[in-house]
Amino acid sequence: MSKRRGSSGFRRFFSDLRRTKVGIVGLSLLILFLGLAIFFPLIGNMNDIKNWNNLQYWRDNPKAAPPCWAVGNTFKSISVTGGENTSNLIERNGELDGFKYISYSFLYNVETQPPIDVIARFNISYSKPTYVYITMERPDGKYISLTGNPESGERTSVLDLFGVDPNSYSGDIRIQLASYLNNMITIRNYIVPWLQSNNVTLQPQDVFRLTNVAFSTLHQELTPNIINAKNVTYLSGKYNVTFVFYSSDKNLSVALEKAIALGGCYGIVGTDNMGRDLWMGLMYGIRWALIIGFSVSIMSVLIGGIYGVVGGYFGGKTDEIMLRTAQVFYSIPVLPILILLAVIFRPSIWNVISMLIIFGWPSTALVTRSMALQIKEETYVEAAKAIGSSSSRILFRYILPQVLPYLFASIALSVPGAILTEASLSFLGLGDPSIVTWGRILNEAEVAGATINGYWWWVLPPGLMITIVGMTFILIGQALDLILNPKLRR
Amino acid sequence: MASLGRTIAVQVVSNLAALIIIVALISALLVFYSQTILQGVVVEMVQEFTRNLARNPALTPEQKAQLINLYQQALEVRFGLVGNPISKVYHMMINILTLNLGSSRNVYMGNSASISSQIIFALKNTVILFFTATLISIVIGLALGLYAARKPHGIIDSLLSFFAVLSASLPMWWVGMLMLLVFAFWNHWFPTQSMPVYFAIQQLSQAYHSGSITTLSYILEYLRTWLYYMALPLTTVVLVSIGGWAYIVRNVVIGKMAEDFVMTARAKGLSERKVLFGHVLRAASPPIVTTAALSLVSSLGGAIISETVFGWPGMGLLFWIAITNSEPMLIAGNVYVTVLLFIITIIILNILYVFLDPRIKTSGSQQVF
Repeated sequence: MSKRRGSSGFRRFFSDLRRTKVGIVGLSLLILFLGLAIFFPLIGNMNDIKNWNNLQYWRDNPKAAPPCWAVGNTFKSISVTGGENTSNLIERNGELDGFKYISYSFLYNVETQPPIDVIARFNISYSKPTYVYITMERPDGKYISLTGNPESGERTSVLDLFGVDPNSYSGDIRIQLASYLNNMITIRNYIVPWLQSNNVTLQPQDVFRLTNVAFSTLHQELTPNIINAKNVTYLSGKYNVTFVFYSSDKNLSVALEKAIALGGCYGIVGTDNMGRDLWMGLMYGIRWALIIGFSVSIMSVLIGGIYGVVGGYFGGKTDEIMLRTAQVFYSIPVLPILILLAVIFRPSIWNVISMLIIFGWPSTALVTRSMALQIKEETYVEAAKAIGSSSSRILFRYILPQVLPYLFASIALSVPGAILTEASLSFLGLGDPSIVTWGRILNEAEVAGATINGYWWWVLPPGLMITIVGMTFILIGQALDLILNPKLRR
Repeated sequence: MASLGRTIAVQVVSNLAALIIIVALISALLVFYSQTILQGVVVEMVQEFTRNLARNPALTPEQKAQLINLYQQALEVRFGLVGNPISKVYHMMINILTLNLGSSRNVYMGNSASISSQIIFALKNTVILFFTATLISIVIGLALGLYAARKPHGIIDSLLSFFAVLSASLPMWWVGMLMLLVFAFWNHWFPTQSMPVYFAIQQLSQAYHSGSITTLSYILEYLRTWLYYMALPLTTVVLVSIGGWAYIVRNVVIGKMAEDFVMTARAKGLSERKVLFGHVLRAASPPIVTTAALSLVSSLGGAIISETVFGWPGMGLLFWIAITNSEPMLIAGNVYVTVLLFIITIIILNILYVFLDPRIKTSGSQQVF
């Protein structure tokens, strides 16, 4: 009996909701967000979320890169994995002068802008001294030795570039070409001589300037004032970066794992300063926002609703005490106390949710109490009392169902507050560090000075998501409010 | 009249009880907080002391150990880490309630380490920013709400409702970050941090006292400096709070418009203007005034995060500084002053309600809350 009535009430509630324009907009947004939250593994990459705190995982992404649609003229990232059959990768090996050599050439095409970095990762193993030779061949046919050239007798040990034991090592090595090149020693040893051999004379201050731009300078057209040119023009065409490993060890083995020419943009909403794909964080944040919003609002409204109804129904001393307790809770400034609690206790997300419930219920209780005060005077309640119904039966079968529509509206209306408060705590760095929420992304943006560095793609979307999800629930709540208070409909 | 006196007495007593319970809660939390966090501070300071002592060759190891011991005991006494926790909670409560807050370890705001003077300094700044902002948004919101209520579901009303929904879900501090991004980073119109406002004011008054600028230009410059540092936070607060405020006004007014006395007034042939301002607004004013007073008072707590984002030296930033520097009494004083002002306003509003509306009895169902 009660079940049937409950479900029909629910159906009426939804059909009422569908009749208003705001209700339709709110409901469809809610369904969209629920879908995105539930089907995240299909649209997103779960590994990205699992490795959110694992910065190693993100090191091959450009750091603090804007989204690709926002920057017209940038290099688009190219990457090859070892063993891939592609025209961008050439593998050679052989023996020369008693050395075994293995070389990988990574080719990328520059149209107007050069990449911001070239990253290469190898798996290497050797047990005798091993050396490395890196060259770059430009579209104009010029070669640049980026390490000591073995043909002129200069050998650069793997120690110098990769920091591994030069005599015997087995494992992964990785190089970021731009950070290797934008370095005074490399510039002095290899880049300045090459520029001079191409009739570019450099002033001392130009050499210092190179520490910021050496890598991109290598992609410029060779002109006498290459460093100080007003309008930088890059040489378009195929560039070939070759990594040669050579060793007297005949068992030298080198396998390319991945080579990337990094572009200056990334994905749909760019990356943060750790190279993390912000799109994944944004999409995954929906889940936590909904979990936080729903659990806090449902629990606190239900607790507050029952509390208020019980107080209002029993009246007298019970009511007085319950009312005063609720008022004490109501006058507590929530955010300062929450901040204090989050500092004292370990801020796990479930702690935060429980604290939000503890401070969230009084406002509902104060309203349902006055509703119960009116309802208990109705004749049907009196009739129920007369036939000897128990208090709990009257409360749960006669009074609470009357209050229920109001509770639905206030559940919807208190979701944004819960999401906002959690975001505020996370923004202060007091959120759960193990989960990805929008507040946390904004916290990291603030810590990295995103606003004063102009990383708008890092600041704008998370707040927008908080706003849109909040709006969804307010629209639904407003639609319910219109249904409940016909006065407003006028 | 006896029942009136009783009503007021009940109001005052119950609100004061609420105040005491809140203070007890804060004290208990802070005593716990001190035990865990200040213990760590003491350990660090003792370690530093030990390192400094180790450089002194004149002392024997026993003397050093004794000195370290004394130093640790002195620190524990200074930070209030000795004694039984319940009596500590009690003493802290007494200290907070009597505003005997002592001094902080460092000077965070203003130029005195006394906690009360720092709170007064911060409160002054919060009043300058948030009181102004709330007043501005109350005035604009009132006008907007009334205008929208004249034609419910018209274009203005729909726009207002949308704006209200939008601003209810906007995080104020995020809007602040966007403001900084647009007006401080892209167009260098305003500063990114408001903290230096006092330095600028100080320089200005020095220039004035040395006689290099005239009184008129001093006043103009003074106002300009405040506005320069205040513009972004002020705009942010107004922008975010205006929509919700206008929406409340609109709802109250529309609710009153549906009542019979409005129809009577219209039937009498009064102009729509007279109906709105003479009848509707008068009937709608108690809830509007209440909400306005409450939002003015709760603005005194500042906005912790927005003030942190802008570096505005108000109550919110002071609270956050106190948290990050582990200053229990500063935290307590800050929260206490906010709650105290809030509760005093509530008491005044409740008493006013009793006078304004004779129907109210002691039932409590018709209180402000």
